[in-house]
Amino acid sequence: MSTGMMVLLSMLVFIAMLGAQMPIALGLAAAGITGLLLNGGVDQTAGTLASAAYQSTSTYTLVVVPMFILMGVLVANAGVLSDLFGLAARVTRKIPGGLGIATVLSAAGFAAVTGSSAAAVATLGRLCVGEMRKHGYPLQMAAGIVAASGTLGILIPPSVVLVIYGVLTQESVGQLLFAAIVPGILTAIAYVVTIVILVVLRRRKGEVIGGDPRLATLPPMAGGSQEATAVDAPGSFVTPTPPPTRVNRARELESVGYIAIVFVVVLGGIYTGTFTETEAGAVGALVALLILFARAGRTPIGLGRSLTSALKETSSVTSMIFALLIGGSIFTLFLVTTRVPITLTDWVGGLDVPGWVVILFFLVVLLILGALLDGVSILLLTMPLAYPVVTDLGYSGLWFGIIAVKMIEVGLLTPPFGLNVYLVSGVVDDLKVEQAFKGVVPFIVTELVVVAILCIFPDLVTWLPELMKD
Amino acid sequence: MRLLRTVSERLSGFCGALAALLLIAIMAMTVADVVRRALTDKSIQGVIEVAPLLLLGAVALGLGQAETAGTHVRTSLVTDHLPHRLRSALRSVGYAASIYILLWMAKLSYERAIDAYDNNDTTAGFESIPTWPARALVPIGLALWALALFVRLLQDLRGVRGLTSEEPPSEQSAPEKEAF
Repeated sequence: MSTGMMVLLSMLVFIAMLGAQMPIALGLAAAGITGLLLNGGVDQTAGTLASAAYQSTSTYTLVVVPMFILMGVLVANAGVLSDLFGLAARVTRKIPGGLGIATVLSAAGFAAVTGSSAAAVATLGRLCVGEMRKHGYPLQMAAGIVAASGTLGILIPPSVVLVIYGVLTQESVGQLLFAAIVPGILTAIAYVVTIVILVVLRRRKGEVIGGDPRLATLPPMAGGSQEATAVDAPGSFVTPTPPPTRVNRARELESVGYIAIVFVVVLGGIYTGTFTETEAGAVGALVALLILFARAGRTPIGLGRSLTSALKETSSVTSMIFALLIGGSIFTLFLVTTRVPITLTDWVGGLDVPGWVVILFFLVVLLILGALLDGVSILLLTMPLAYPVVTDLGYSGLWFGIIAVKMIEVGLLTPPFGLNVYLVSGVVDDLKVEQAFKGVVPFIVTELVVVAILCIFPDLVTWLPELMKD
Repeated sequence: MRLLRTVSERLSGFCGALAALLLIAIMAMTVADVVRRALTDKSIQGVIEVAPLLLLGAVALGLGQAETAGTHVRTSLVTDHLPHRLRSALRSVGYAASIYILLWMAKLSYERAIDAYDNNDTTAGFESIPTWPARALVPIGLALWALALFVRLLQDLRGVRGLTSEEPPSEQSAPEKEAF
């Protein structure tokens, strides 16, 4: 059987498993097993499967993944996000779209301690959408702001998706994390600009958005008050809020301090060479644990339950991600044994087209897959093929990693999969998914503009890692 | 079926708790190594070799819990548009295939763990740590995942017969899920 036919059959198996609502990890494994069986027979396949879990998991570099997850989950359970929002809302209250900007800023701050977008979207959805509506924001716009803000979690370091990219492509994880800082900040600024433009345009049409004098008392979940942490707790709802006091403001600043400590410890440790990336993850997780202990008295569900819930979530998410890696490794091994990546690289190298056309092609593929699959699955499916081609054309692997993650971000917003959109519609009672999808359209455009800027000025991505090398 | 479901959830929950302890152990061990290196300029021997083995154990032991908690990523893009019986039938075929794959992998992993024990396989690096204890956890984790899927299969077989059945989690229906 020809290689092309084997690849086609294995992809059909993958699609069939996906269609049957099976875990994507098992879909990847089934596709890889099909290909290996067709290519090498039962014995070769059995030999691969016997060690698949061991080979793709027991690597020291990968230890950073559960550490980053643990760090993010612990900080999320400590309830700092509502404090961040309170402070950001106060700081931005005089700017058009202040509450929307506060949402972006608090999501960006939260992203600096977590590699996940879901926790931010779920919490901000409960916290911010109601407040924005009170101040005249249309529901779909408020939902769009929250869903888009949540995407910052997978780009701004620490980012689990970037770690996985680094492991798959052998790019330096530390350099990748630093490469994401400027694009992350740029994306946050672009969101802020988008919100200001949207609000100004609506005000010109006569709509009243923001600017309500009640904003002075707005910062809703000020400080680590009982109400604030109640919002952060999974499954809880926004409760009536106290007016800001000096004590609450101090608590808000305390939360910002916690975020800053974690961020500086993790990235500062890597930058100065004090820690490896893996060690930085472990130290960051310990600091996050201490933060949870420090705020234990202010969590409504108590320290014990907060900790148990965080550990349970961390172990489940870790196993989910590594199941994807194991399934992906089986699929990749099939591709490698049939020399598909090399054949593709040679074929693309022989094409008489400029390199940017190839990059554009891969970006479109990532965009389409982003609308259907999650980030890690997309990397596992595409990078074994795309990375060698892109680097062979002379492009930076660091730069391509950041661009790929940006496209995955867009995928979190585009239908039909658009996970962040489903998340926000899941936590806001009267919000329909269609409304939320309409609300994210301006932010998808913004994301694509940012990607274009990063393509035109790749130094925005590479200068910080270069500085690190020096 | 209720008994089987309870057994699956309890076993997965217990192993998930063990997985969490292993992750805490990795964190503590790694931090201790950093502290020792900072204080004495010497590393704790074996941390780099043991941590990946503990990670393998944590991953394996958490597989069942990830299924019962609905954390494994899947999509209901196709099944959402199918009639109830057809949807249950399609998923049943998928579950059967998934269980077969997992049990095959569990059997092969078990045999590999036995080989590792017999041959006294150790980690590469400065410290030679036996790999069989971590490898032995892999078939347990895969079997727990298969058991959790078997419970879902039984649910969907009820759906095929026209009885009410519980919908499995999906990206579109699980707003609390982590996304990376």
